[in-house]
Amino acid sequence: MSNRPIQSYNNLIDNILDYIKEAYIQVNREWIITGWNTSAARVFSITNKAPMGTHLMENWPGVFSAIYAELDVYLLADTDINQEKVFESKFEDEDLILEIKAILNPAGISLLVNKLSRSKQTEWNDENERLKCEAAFEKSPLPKWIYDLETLQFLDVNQAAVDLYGYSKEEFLKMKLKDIRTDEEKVVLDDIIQNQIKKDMTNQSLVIHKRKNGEELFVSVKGTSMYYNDKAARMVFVVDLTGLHTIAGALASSEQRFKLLVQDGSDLVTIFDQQGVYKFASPTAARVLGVEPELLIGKNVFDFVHPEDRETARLQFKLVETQNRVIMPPFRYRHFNGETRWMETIITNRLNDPVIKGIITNSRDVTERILQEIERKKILDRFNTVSKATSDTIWDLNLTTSSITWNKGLQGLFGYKLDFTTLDWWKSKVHPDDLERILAHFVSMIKQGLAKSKLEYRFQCANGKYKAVFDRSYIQYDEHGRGNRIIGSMQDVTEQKRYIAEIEVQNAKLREISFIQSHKLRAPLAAFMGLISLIDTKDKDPETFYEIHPMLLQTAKEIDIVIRTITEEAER
Amino acid sequence: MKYRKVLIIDDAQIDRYMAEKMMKKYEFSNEIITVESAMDALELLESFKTNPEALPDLIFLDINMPQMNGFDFLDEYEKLPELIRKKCIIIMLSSSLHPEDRQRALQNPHVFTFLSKPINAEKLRELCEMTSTGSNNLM
Repeated sequence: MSNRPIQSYNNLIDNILDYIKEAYIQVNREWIITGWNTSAARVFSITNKAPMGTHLMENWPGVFSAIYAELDVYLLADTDINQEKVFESKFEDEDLILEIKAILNPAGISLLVNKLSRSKQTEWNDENERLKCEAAFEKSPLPKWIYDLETLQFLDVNQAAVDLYGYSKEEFLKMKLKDIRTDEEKVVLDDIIQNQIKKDMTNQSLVIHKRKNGEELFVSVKGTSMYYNDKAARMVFVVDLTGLHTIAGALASSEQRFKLLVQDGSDLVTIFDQQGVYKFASPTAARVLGVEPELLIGKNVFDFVHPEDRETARLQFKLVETQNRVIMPPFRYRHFNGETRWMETIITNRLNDPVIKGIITNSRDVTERILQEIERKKILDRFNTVSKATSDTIWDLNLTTSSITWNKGLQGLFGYKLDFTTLDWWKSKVHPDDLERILAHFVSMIKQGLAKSKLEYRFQCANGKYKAVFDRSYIQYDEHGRGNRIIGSMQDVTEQKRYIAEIEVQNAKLREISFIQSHKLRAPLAAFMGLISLIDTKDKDPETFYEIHPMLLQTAKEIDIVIRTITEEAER
Repeated sequence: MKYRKVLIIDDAQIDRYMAEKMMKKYEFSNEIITVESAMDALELLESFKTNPEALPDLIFLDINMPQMNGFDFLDEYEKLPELIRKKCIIIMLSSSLHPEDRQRALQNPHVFTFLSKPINAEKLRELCEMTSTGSNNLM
């Protein structure tokens, strides 16, 4: 058979192909380009024969990738096939959407390419975008949902959201945005919805959500406004930070504690070896001991302990090896400025801790407190010395702290075995009828800046009975003229008061006797005297005498009665 | 006679007797009226308000009396018409030696002086002198 008719036939076909409006490309079974028409040259910008004999995918991979992926299997099968398949693809260089009809034939594939209309192209774009979005939404590893901006109803959720929150998709679609919020967060949400969310705006926030099982989730939420099925909606994706939040919180808290305790604390934290040699000292060493911490390293702590306290300190230090934790009584330490400071220390055994491998001490300068205690003891001793010489109760009121120091007289006089009390305790022991008067007295004294005070009141003993006390006190004022201390002595005047009361009764009796004498006795006596003076011995008037005589007798009797009354009154 | 009319107010019968007897003996007054209570005295004085000439020149008033004592009498006396108060001189009498009684008596504006019982010739003579000179310094 001659090749001429075949050649003629092929030329005819080529001519026909050149006249059709579709672009035509022919590839063999190995996807090698074997021919194209004029339209194809125009559409694909073919200006020479270069594509001939080359692989289709080398030239336009973006356009034909889907066709290649689907149809290669047929070509590899090496079977006679006659099929037609239509594909749509985007020609990226021209921003064109193409409809490609692939006709499988024994020689390979004939590809007929058509440009799509503008409306068709737009539709294609939208649909393709939608599909891509759907795929991105559903398959996203991040939880996502879309909610109605107006009703806050969930419109769609992806699988990751279902997995994280524990609600099924069906449950989600019946819920509203608030249903995954804690009560506190609902208020925040209202504010966000009302004030912060605007259409076409993207925003991000950190919030607390709750799972179906009630567990709280600390999440970062990012939302974008959109239209979903013609509704104003918002697509949200969520990043779960719960674990991160917990770890970060714990770390921050731990770091803060460390900083507070070791770096910025008032206590000195040190690590020693078993001999008391410094291995570490916190920066507070500079403030507490007056030395930079690094200068302590290698030095022995006991060299700085006061000689009188050294042995006890050594024993305590040794004790921690068996007791793990020892609270040392205050001891004296030589500050680097030469002063002696009182320290209070807690020792902890961390020799077995692979990180520490030492003995940790936590020390605090308690010098002020100890000196105050010593001072108070001195005062107390002074009081007690005084108290031995006096039966009075000595008290010392600190008006700043409202505390009272007592001497032993408090026990001797009133039966209380106390050295220190509050002012309120004293108030509770003063007779209620006297308290207001006494307080007003001291307020007035202090207001006037007076120092010496004298008072009498009743003070309750431990047995519940009241004793009358005479209280002499001295008010001290500070440099601003404010009363800051009152020192006083209470003297038991119960017996004196009783004695005075007795004398007052006696005086009342005497006054009564005096009154009787002055009025009742004087009256008949005056009458007696008057009657006597009427008896004139010169005129010897018997009439007068007889008149006066019974009167004299009467007055004499009256005098007798009054004298008896006085005697009885005195004996009563 | 030194005085025209004298009123003695005293609940003690012996004291009234002695005062009257002493005044008569020493011709102290032309007329001596005695009453045994302050109420009777007030009534009597009231009865004289339309006849001031009948009012006494002197009133001897005892302090210690039942029901109405001498000071109570003075409170009521204050309420009597000025005519009566102007006319009478009141001498308070008491057997008391208590200084308070004397002081209280002399503080009253209507009391001329205070006399301690018993009344005797000497006290009456001094009283006459005092009323004529206006001095009332008499024990």
